[in-house]
Amino acid sequence: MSETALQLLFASLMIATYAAIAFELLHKTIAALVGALVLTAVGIATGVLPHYTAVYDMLGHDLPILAVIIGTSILVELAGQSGLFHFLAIRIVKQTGGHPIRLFLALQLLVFVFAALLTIVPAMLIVSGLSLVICKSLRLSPTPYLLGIAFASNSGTLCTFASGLPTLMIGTAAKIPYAQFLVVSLPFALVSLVVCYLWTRHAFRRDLVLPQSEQAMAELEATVSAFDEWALAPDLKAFTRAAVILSLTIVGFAVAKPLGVGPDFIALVGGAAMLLFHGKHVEETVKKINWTVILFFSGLFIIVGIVKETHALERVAGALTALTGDSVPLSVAIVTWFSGLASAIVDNIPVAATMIPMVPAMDSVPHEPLWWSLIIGANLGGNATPIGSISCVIALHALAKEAGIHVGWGRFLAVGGVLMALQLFLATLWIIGYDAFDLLPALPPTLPTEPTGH
Amino acid sequence: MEDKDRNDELVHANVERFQAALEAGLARVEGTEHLKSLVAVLDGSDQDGSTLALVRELAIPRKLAVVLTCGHLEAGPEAEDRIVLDAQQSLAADGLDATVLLSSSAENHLRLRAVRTAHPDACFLLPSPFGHDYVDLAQKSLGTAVEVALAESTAPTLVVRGPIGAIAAEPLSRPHVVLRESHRASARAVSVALGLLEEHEVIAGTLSMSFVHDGPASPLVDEVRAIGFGANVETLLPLLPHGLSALLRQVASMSEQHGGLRLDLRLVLPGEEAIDEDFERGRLHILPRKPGSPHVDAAIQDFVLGSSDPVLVVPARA
Repeated sequence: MSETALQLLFASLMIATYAAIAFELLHKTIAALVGALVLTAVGIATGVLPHYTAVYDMLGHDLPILAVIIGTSILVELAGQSGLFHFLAIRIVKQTGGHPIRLFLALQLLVFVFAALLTIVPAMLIVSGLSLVICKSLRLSPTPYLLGIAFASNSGTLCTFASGLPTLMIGTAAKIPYAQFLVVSLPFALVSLVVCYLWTRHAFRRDLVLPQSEQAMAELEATVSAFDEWALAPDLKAFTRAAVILSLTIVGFAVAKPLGVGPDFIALVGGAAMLLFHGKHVEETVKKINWTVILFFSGLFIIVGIVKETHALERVAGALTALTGDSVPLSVAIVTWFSGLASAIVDNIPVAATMIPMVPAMDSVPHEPLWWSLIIGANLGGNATPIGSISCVIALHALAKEAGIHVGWGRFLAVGGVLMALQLFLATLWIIGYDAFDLLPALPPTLPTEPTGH
Repeated sequence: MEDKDRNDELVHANVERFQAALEAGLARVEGTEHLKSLVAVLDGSDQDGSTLALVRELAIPRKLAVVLTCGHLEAGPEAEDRIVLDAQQSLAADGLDATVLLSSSAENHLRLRAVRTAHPDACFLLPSPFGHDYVDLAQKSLGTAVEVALAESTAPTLVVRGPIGAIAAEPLSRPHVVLRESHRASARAVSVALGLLEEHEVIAGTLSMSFVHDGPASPLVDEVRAIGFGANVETLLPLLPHGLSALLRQVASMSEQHGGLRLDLRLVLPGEEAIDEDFERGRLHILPRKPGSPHVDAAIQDFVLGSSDPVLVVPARA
């Protein structure tokens, strides 16, 4: 079989798997595992893979990502059981005095910080629960608050190496040190949060109504002040231990490189410390690690790894290079917008996994701006559609199940689609500007992995 | 699909957790609450003796106003009035000057409703089952009048039970609060219990509290349950749902402030709330009634039907 035919065959199988995920024909984990098995079998039959054990080499490269997921899952689960995050959430909300606009801002800030520290799913689960209860208590419409936090959480995933799964994947592949996130993507995360707040406040201006009288405002304040944050932290010792271990782990991430270890090591040490000092129910905690995501990742890494063996992704990268030439602005714009738009339609994890091998192959421009473009595009693209990001899916489901409110595609696109366009436009300018002023720190070279057999 | 279902469940769990925090904030124990006045409803059965004994014990030291009335009897209005006037005379012998309300409406629950409208803050003392001497019925039903009174009252209601014609010794000095979840009525139940133990602004005595564990089973839960009364605060706190732990922490802090207040705590499973004791060592059981429900909770019904001690049902404040 010719190389082109092989590339078309394997790319078609990969796209078929992604379609099954995007259209929910199969659970995404099952789709990824079945896709991996089919591609492995076809790979062996066509000689792309010398032996099925070649997939273990592919998985081996990505073990650090799985280790970070396992370690942080344990950390977040046990810290969550201690009531630490719920406690902090109520403390912050009480500061707003029940003022609808301040509350709108506080919830977005809260989910942004939680997404940066805990990753997007735990952050959304906690803050959407809080938002629903507060809105019900204060008789506010929950739609602006839930959608606002869904959008703001996507900005939070840009903050650090471990804030979002696409960020973690891209950061690991590009070998981006933790500290560089604080210099490049954290400032942009803050900018995108400001854009998110201003735009959503404008878009929901009719829903965010201020109380008509001082008495009504006093009632809102009294309701919010009735929250007892200590009721959510029943065991003060466990609460303190969780706070200390989590803080040390965050510091550990920041100093991992000088210590000569990776974030995977720090995450596992943090998880183990939490189990050692705080884990009363080890079996229950370990069960709560998101094994479906780990299996999904494993399948995906195998699929992308096999397609990479056929050089199909290099070929697409080559086509892109031919289009952009040595223009950094054009390359940045294409990677940012392509990854953003693709993430609005498909889960952003497959998008990131597929584009990771393409960036090193675009060798007519420096790779640094492209990696950051990919990180921002993949994380913020999901704001555009109701299915684009897990945070939007959680928010829309919570609205439907807990408040009986259904938000249609049209209404969502009018807010989320515009927001994504604004954020990606700014991101493109941001990265081009950083590159133009030579502000992007250099990264270690990332050569495409040597083929295993083809 | 499964991920979405899982996330939906976790969002809901967080909603309940934050709701508990809100309820816990509303359920703050704010000092003691004292009964304001009493309305004793007699029914001509032997349980009237128990009712009047409790009236004496509650009203004399606290100088509470007492109103006596009678439920509808087949024997007619004259017999009803005779019962009330006899009771008034009996209380007068102990120096208690009670007001009487003579018969009016035929339906018991309508009659009680009219009395409650006139005395909205009074604690009603009702025999259960109301208007019957039948022991079999006493094990099956609270009686319509009692159920309506419990469901509608915004003041505590004392359901008089037990061996007919007698009452266990000093139940009022031995309050036992049963708590299964945190809400405004839970905090009020604790305040009322503390009020019963307060004399001249000093809270003294033993407050027994049973916490009903609705969470998952674990060896630690079994271990604490096996202790029975006598579990310590630190052991119990991690096992309680959010809200109840905050309530316990408040009561423990009051116990530290008031040297004479002793806490006797235990953890029980649903259905284990009753206390198996000698008749002479009876207690006053205090049960909070969850706000917002038009009916009396099944847990309260079951407890009252299974108890031979008086039960004080405390609703949320209006």
